[in-house]
Amino acid sequence: MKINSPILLCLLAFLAACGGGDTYRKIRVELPAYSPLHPEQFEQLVFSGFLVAKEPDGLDLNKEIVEYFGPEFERRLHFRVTVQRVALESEELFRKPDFWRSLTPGPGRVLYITGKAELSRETRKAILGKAKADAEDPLARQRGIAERSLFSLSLHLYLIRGDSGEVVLDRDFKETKAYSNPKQRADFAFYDLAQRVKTKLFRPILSEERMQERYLLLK
Amino acid sequence: MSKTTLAAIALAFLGISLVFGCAGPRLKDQVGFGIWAADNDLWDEAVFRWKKVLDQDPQSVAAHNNLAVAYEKKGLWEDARKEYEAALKVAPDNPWVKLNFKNFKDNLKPEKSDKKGKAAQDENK
Repeated sequence: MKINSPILLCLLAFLAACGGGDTYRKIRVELPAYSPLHPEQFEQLVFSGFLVAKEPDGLDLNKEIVEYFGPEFERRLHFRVTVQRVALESEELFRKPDFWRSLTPGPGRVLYITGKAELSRETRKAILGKAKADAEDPLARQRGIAERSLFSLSLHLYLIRGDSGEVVLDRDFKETKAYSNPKQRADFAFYDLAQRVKTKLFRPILSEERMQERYLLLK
Repeated sequence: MSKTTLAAIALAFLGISLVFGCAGPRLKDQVGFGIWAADNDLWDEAVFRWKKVLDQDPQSVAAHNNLAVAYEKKGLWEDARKEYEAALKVAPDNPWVKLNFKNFKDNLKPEKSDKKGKAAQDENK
């Protein structure tokens, strides 16, 4: 055994050098988000109206959506944005290719944006967090109950090809935000909530990259 | 053969083994070279190397898996899926391929919208 120990050492060294160590490498890599939409295939985006389930008094949700998202599509995707209001009777219409094909006058590369929208407002009572008023801090909040405005935006978006009537993107968004001001304006709340939707909507459309983990195998 | 000679041979062999063992994956082995290229953001080069491995060994799990990652990086989703499936066909229990494939499928799903509603607490504080 004593004589063989150097040979054994050789063998172990060889095995360690050839076969030892890790079999994988963890990497962090920026990967593009998957997008079922190929923006380069289109040149015009038509806002064909949204089925509005609920909207606060004095706010035209259809108008707000067009005014907010229209310029975003123009700026980010270089689409020509137009508005062509369509009489939407039910949600089933979104899945009727014939209907959307019939709207498209020619072979132009048109993409319709439509869907269902709802902006709701609730007033809720909130218990203030601080138990005692601080004598040295006159602005400290008292214990008690305060009113809060809670706005929720539900937006179910469909992007539909004009030439085939096929739905290329179908996304559902729901965003909620609470405001300490019980008289918070609905248009301001819409702006806040639409901003969140915008981030989630454009990330996949533009295939924006996100840092992700993957494993490369060494052998 | 004396003990000293044997020890000298062992040391020489150890040295040679280490040199070739360490240098192999980076310089000679195409898989390792592809990884080096990927580390340096040279994904086209990495794809070239891993494809070369597959030409010689179509059953190489590493080449299939790594190619899939490279295709993901390039946004070639169908190619990536095929490569992950090929890797899993050869090594269905490989945890790293399974994890990569799961992450790949998650990336294809639409981003989860906040169904419960994320009430912003900042306004309440």
